[in-house]
Amino acid sequence: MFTNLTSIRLVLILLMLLVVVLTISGVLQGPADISLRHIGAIFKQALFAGSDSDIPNWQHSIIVDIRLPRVIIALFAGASLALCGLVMQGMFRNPLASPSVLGVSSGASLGAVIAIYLGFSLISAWAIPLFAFIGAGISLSIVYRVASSRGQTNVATLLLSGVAISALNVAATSLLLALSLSNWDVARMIIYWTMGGLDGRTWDHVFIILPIVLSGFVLLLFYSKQLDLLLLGEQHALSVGVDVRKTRRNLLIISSAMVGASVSVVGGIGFIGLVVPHILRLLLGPEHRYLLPACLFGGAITLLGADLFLNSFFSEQAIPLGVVTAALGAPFFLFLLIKQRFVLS
Amino acid sequence: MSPLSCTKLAFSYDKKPLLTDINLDFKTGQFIGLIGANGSGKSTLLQLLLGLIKQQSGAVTLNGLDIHVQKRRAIAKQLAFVPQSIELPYAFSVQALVAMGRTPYLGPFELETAEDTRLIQEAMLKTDIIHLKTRLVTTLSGGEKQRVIIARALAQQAPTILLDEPIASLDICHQIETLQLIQSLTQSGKLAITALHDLNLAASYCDRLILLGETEFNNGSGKANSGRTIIADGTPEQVLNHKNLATYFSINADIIKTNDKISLANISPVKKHLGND
Repeated sequence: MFTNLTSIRLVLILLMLLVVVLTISGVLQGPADISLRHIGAIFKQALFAGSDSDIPNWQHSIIVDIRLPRVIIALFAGASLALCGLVMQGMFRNPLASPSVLGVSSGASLGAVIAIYLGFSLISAWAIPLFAFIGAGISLSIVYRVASSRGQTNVATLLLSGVAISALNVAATSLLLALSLSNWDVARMIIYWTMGGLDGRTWDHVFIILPIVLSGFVLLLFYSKQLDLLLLGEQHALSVGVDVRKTRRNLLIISSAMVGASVSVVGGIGFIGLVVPHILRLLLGPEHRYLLPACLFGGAITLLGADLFLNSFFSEQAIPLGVVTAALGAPFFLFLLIKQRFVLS
Repeated sequence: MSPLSCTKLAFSYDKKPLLTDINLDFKTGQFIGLIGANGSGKSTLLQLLLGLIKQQSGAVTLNGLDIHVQKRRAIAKQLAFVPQSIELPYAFSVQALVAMGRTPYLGPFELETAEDTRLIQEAMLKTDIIHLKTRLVTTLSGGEKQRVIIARALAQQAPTILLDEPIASLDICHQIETLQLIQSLTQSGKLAITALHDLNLAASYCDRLILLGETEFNNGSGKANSGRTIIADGTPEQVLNHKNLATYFSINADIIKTNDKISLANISPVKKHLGND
């Protein structure tokens, strides 16, 4: 583990560099062949509003309207999930907590499907993220109420309440889909939305996810000291002057908004919120002033990396992103569970 | 003005009365021991005094103001707390953990000033953990962890420290060390209120003992009810008498007086009469 400040800074800089490298490769890489020189010219054109006539129009739209939003959304969705996982692990003092395990992602999905089913998504592009936020918030507060009594969280209760809430959310989502089948337009929208992923995402999606995740991140930075103290326990936090109830409520709202934003744009992608914060905590130690930026970068790297991996090696098969993250994350989850079993027994 | 007091405090949990009619007043510079058998409400009383839980009736007054109208940050500058559970499963460094005691004085992005750093160093020196400052708390022994948490409470610069069984998980040497540390703090003007199990140690270190125990009381409706309240409050000699030992701790013991201290010897359990007598 890197405990001294220099190595922590070094890890953060490395992560940041990796974000830059992956972002560039994300823009360069794709089924269409566009030369580096053209890409440079397109960026110059976009930034300085000049016109360069020898760039074909289709190349311009592939870079600006397809690859760029895809890369930005991958970065921010991954960052959002990792940050939310970090916050939930701190709030529940448990390394198994994460948006997908606690049923928060499925709550956001249910909210989004309700927004589509009721037709609100046609009125405003913000209807889906808003409803997803509400769904995530309700699920998280229920899990929190059930699993925490007097500041203590029982692992089994936490996981089981997550399972129960997830099952309920998934069932309600399926019910809405079944009900909507009589109206094919709505059903088609719901099915299309539930597929999730990064395909066909546009700047509209960027404008939803980017502001919410960025402002969520900045707000979370204000709570880094409180998160450290919550990790030690409610009594510790209270005794040095943290208003635990208010802090928990605000963290719950921020993380629900972030899960809502990422789920409404890319759907439920599991395990990033579980694995990334855990590994970074092992690497950098438990202090949130370092973990928060590390998770921002780490989550971004993981999701964009998974997307690039799929595009490079399985571009023909259209494998959903969640498959890669689950293939990495589920064994890791089981490993943590075994480790906890030994600690607890 | 007394730094901390409470009047007519009553607390019930799940409609079962836990504590009733608690009236206490504390003076600075005293080492106060809270004693009583298991389940006598020692921890609950400490949590009420800290404002961590809310009483059903009565009031806790901190520096002349009801504790529940004050902000946690303001309370933390007056009251420090050493919780019973000191399992620290996350790998903070000793220095980082002690530095958390400065939280009530610092804004979210504010770095420690030279004065903060000095107070953190001083707290680590007083608790004799300065040589551990770069160690991770996960690698410490129980006694060392306890001293780290006490150091954090010292760094908090609060005039009053509440401790919930701070020596329960320590070996005898560290028990004495911890109690001596608390005693030296009270001699330098702080008020310490400590829940303790060991009556002999309580008797030899505390200036004042408060005994909590179960009692029958009349709640007005004519029906007798049982609850826990203050049975005795005074010097160790006043509180630890044969009758209290037998009734509230179920022990018989010889009470030996040496100089101005008392101690218990030949402790044996009281034979309970079985059957319906």
